[in-house]
Amino acid sequence: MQGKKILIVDDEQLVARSMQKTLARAGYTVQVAYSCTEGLQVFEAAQAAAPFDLALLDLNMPGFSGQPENGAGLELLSRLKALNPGLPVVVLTAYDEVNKAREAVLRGAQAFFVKGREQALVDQVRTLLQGDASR
Amino acid sequence: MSNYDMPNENELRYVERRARLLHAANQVGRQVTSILELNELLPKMVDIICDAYGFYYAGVFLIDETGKWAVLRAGRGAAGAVMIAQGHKLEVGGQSMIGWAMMYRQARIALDVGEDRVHFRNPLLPHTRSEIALPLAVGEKVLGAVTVQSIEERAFSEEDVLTLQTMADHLAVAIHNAQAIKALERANQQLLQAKTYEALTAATTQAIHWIGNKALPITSTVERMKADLTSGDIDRESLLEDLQLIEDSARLIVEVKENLLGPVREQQPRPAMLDDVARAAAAQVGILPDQLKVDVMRRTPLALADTTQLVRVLGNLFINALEAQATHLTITVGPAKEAGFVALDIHDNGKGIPPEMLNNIWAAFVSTKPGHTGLGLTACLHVINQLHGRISVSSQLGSGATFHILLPAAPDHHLPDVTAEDMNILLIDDDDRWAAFALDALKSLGVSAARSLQPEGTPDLILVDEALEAMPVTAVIESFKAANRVHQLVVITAALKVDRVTAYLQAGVRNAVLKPYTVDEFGDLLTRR
Repeated sequence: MQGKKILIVDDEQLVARSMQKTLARAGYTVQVAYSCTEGLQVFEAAQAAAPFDLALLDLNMPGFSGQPENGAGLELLSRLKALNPGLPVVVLTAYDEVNKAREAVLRGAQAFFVKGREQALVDQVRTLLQGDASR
Repeated sequence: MSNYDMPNENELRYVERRARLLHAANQVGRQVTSILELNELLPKMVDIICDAYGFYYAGVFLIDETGKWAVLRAGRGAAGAVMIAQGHKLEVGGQSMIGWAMMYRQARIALDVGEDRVHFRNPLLPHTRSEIALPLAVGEKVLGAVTVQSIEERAFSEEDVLTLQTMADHLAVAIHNAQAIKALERANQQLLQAKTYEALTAATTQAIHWIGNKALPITSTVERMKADLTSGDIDRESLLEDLQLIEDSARLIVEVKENLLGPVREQQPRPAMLDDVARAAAAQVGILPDQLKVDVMRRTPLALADTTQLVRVLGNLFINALEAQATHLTITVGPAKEAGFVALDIHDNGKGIPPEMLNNIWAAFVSTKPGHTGLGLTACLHVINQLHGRISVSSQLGSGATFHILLPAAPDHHLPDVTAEDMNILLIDDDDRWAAFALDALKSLGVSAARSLQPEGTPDLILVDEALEAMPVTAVIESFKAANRVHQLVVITAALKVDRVTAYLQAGVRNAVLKPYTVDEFGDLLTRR
């Protein structure tokens, strides 16, 4: 499990850095991007040589237009899934949004994580990557 | 003249009465189109009817919200006032003539009311000998009825009935319109309340989420640090970074508090030289003199503003411009096209604001920049509104942005009765518009004053401008300390800030005060020194 590659896309730099540190501490290799556009670029660049094993996408952040958008992460989710249909994706949000969670699942997200205790996120990531390994 | 040509007495009375009726009908027509307030319209109607016809009494009943009762809303004279005070009402479809007229939407006349079984015997109107009740209706809808009463038996001719019913019809239309407008106003009020509540809830929810989001890294980082420290696996660099994460997150939350509470502080508007306030704000946020151009148009009046709050607004706008990669700012101050206002335009050569963001930039918690509260421009808008001014923005992507501020002009000031003869003042300042004004003002107060950037002469008082282009004010304070004259220094500033004032006083300066922009204020400064 350790050494697996995770992409975090979140415009909240401090939140992203904190998650990155916690996941790195758990043994993962973590890369961070701060917008949909940057996230897609980083993901595409890694596809050939060392593709990501999992993506954590913030729900509300600058979309592909560059402007803040409610639910921009869902668009990025669809694009990443188009590039790698088997990619486990966790959608991150600051609060409970049932409708958005439903849409995220319909677009192929494996989990919807309400930001809070990072250890719970580590547990969730571990479970998803174990599932990935057993597939 | 023969008998044939002479109109008889009855004919004369008829013609006169007809003329009065036409006049009354005209009056009604005029009133109903001009008055939409029922409390004003209805009493006028009963007066016109009684005065025109010489009737004993007239009253207007309107059906209440239950639809069962017609309530007296206007009544002639003392009897009418008493009945309104008693809440006089009649049942729709009941035994009264009013009740009948509303039920059947027809006029009803009782020519000998004493014998009419449906007439309501009213002790307040003991002389009524005949009555007509006229329905007030618009289309299918009955709104109420009008009662007209006379002390004469058989007082109502066919022509009277026709004219009165026409008047009642006009009145009904006016009542219908007034009620429709009232209903519309009520609906609008309810909508406004709902919208206000919705906006407040949305703003509060947004604020809570925003703050919660900023606080997230604090709890997560503390948890991670605890785990690191417990495990004994200590990476000093990592721990330092964690502390920085906590500090940065906490700072963002503190900034929200400052941005939300800052503009709410009580404002103390006073006459202000806007170009000088702009220079002070630029100095405070570290804009270099060669990055700033200030143009002042002729005959620019002073504006009425709290300069400390205004420095906060301009500082926010300047920082935004720098963050939008602006390398140069142009400030133009002049009389506004709108009389009684001063215009302040701030143009930057940054990357500009995308058109889709232009409508959103004043909203709270909206920012395209990471690590920003999205409250800076909201605070600017709030401060300018509080100063009874206006702020707007125009921008073209790639060609920078221009913020337009309008502030009320200050009233003209008279010379104060202060003379400080034999007083010698040294002004430490750049050679700018404010310094020229200050020297003139001091001269008009009978004070001997000179401007310099060095300690020179033997002044009684030394005023030093906080926003110096030539050197930082702290350097001036140090040089006066070295010359053992720092106690003579008074720092003058457009924006009083606790941290800076404390530092100046600790360095030994006599005082730090708001910069005067009128001769009156200079007079006060000299008196208080």
